[in-house]
Amino acid sequence: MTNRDEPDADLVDRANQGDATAFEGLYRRHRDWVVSVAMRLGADRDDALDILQETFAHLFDQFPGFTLTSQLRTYLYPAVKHRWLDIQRRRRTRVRLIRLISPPPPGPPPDSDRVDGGRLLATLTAEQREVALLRFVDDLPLGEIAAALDVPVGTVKSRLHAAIAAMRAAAAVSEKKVR
Amino acid sequence: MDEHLDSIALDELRRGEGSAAAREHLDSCEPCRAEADSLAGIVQALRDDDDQGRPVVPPEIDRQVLEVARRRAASIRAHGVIHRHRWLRPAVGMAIAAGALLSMRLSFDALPSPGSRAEKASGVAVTAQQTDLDGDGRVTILDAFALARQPASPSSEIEDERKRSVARIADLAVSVERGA
Repeated sequence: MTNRDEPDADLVDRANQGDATAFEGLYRRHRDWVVSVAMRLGADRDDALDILQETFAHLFDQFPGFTLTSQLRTYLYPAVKHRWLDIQRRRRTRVRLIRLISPPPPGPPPDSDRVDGGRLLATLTAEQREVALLRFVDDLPLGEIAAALDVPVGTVKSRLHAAIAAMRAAAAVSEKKVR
Repeated sequence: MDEHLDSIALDELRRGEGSAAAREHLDSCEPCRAEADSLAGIVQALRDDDDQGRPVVPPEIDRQVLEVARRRAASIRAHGVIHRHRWLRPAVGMAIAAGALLSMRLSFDALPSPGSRAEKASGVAVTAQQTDLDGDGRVTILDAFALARQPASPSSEIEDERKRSVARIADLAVSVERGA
């Protein structure tokens, strides 16, 4: 049995000993996040579900002997990204990080002063968007984001700073339009 | 603190981090509070957006993944076996070749004295169980390889220890080969 509050590190320890419920606990805890990350990168529903299966098959393959030295998501993020890039390579299509670099299709005009997250993200570069989502949606510490992206913490900070500035500007424009 | 807070400092305060001085400044600075409120609105908008459009994972996907997990767990409990994927086969082949080369080189070495061979054999017998990582009942160069291929740790201390363990297991594999 898994406890909702049981740390990932404890689940990893039990999984290393062959406890099937610990594997399931890790999967249930991070399943939706993996799908979400895949779709942020541009995967459609079917690709995201393929990536989900491949990512966890890869994770399970690291047991026994898997050592957790940071948050599990820091380990999973590059695994998901790698699989998405691999899918693209296999298809030999041009890089189509649709949700990362293209603005979303125009939707209905805003009927309130609520800020639209999709529109804000559309103003960011792929790298800014990646950092902003890991920080603001996934709530990862700066050091963990740096580890997940394999870049220095200073780079994460500068991308985050630029992302916030761009989104502030977009939000201000959006508010003016509403008024 | 007289200067206004930058976006990173405001973000740290949003997360309950940041210095006491920064918090004090925020409490007393109207423009910074407005920036903090604006950032909070942006964060909420991103979270709302992320929640929308995420597909529900079908139960059959859950079943398939959990079946993989169940098999892996059963394998660990039964044998501690590390199943290798197809992509690993070339690497395993290279490790086997490396082991073979090592054995060939060792065949030219002088044989140890009878006493030392017996000592080695008894020492190896105890350690072999601990170092048979692939669970095939023998300590070979593949066990060192299995340890070497595990994901790298950011901790240099752990990495150093791992490298030493790889070397130790490789030495042990050679000792077993010599003692056989």
